[in-house]
Amino acid sequence: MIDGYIKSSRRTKAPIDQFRKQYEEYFSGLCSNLLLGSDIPKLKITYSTERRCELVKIKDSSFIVYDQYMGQSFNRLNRVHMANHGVAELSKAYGCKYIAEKLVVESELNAAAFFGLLNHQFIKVANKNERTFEFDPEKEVRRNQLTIVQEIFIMSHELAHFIFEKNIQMGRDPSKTTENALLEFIKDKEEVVDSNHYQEIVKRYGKRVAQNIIKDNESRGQHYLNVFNTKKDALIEEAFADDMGAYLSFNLARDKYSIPDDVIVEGILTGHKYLRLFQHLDKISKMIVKLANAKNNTNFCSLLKNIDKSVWGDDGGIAIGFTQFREHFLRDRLALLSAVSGSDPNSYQCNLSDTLDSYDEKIEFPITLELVSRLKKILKFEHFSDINDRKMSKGELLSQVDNMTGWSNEYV
Amino acid sequence: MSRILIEVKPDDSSVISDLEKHDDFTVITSDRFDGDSIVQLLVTLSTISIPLAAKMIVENIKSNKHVIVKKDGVIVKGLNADDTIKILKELEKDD
Repeated sequence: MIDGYIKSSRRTKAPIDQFRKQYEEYFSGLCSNLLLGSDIPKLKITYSTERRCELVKIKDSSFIVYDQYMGQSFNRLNRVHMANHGVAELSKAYGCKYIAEKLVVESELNAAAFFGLLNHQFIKVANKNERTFEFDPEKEVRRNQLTIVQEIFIMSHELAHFIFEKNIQMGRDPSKTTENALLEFIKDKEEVVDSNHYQEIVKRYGKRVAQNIIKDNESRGQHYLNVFNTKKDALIEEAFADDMGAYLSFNLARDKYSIPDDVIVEGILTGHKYLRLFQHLDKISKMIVKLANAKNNTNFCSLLKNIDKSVWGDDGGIAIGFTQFREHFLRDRLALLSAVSGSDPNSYQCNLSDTLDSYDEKIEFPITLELVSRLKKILKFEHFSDINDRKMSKGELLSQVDNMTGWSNEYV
Repeated sequence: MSRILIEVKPDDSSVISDLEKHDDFTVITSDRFDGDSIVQLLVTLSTISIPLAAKMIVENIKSNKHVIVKKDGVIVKGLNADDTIKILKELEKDD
């Protein structure tokens, strides 16, 4: 039944066999530190455009479905972040590739072809210099270690959801402990003089976006409390899974793969950020679906006017606040883990802040701000219908899109 | 054997538990990164399951509730109150 679910829920191709052993090794490494005996989920490996690792329950069986394409995407984004040239263009290219692949799943092939072409255009601009991805050995090692940590963290986050439920079944509800830790975290933020939070967001994202994600004069602590009160149960379980996932990942990456603490912390936080980026890209893709189905030019223009706001959700910043809250809470917990592990987290906090800011500037903003703003300027009602002027069949168009996004290629 | 996946919000739980009694329906629960809950039904298309699945899909469409149908990971477009049974019958043949 699990295979039937995977086939029905995702656009897949066969996973790469040579990496299968590695994922099995991560998974057994994570489980070996737990006292669950044989009562652990089964690991299923897939390769799909969903880029999603999930804990799946079917009747009395649990599975962790690990998506290789997600790890591959993390690796790609790590390479883009480190690229010697054209980083902003490469980020936008990745964003367009992701959107094109999502639009295929949405059966919007004309729009998918448009984004497949944009992906190519951005890559062409970025690759003027051939040495874009030539890194010195030290950087190569770091990139590889980051990807290992990110993959382990995503797997362990899902395993932690399983642990959360097992605890509840055994009458040991972990919610209260996590709830207290979250409230303490909010209190700390309230105590920090943080009244300029709104202005900080305006400076970072612009007024239009800021108005969508935070109320004027709202402090960070108040904003988090609002998120906490709105999505309390979900937040508690996700924060538990982040926290426990980070703990399990930290131990495995340090003890088995000898990865330094600062790289582990960076890997976990950037992995978290990549998942947040995928959420933004999903929102953009949904907006493109609406644009592709606009009834007329007036309808199209009124939808397009709000495309930049749609990236941040239409719930007053709750969804974005939800992931930001988790990320900041996780960062605090990782500092604690580092200290327990024996390294002084203060020794790398400055570098870590710079790296996370650099991730925002090089990866996220070129997509969520620059690409979206460019789309707002260039998209026209006729774009998605005119693109198939050769009147290709559905199969031919799909094959063209898959060529443009690289989905039909051999695994790279 | 042709299968589809129907995705709905968990507030349809009574309908879902009724459908689950049939062999052709399997309930799948999974976690999402954004903390939202989604219930998915894996349906083996047959003469028995198609009308039951169609009824559920149409009710969700009519009351403007979230409902997505996937076949081989791709969202089925064009579902509406009139054509759902016809579309599901076509999907049954398409395997």
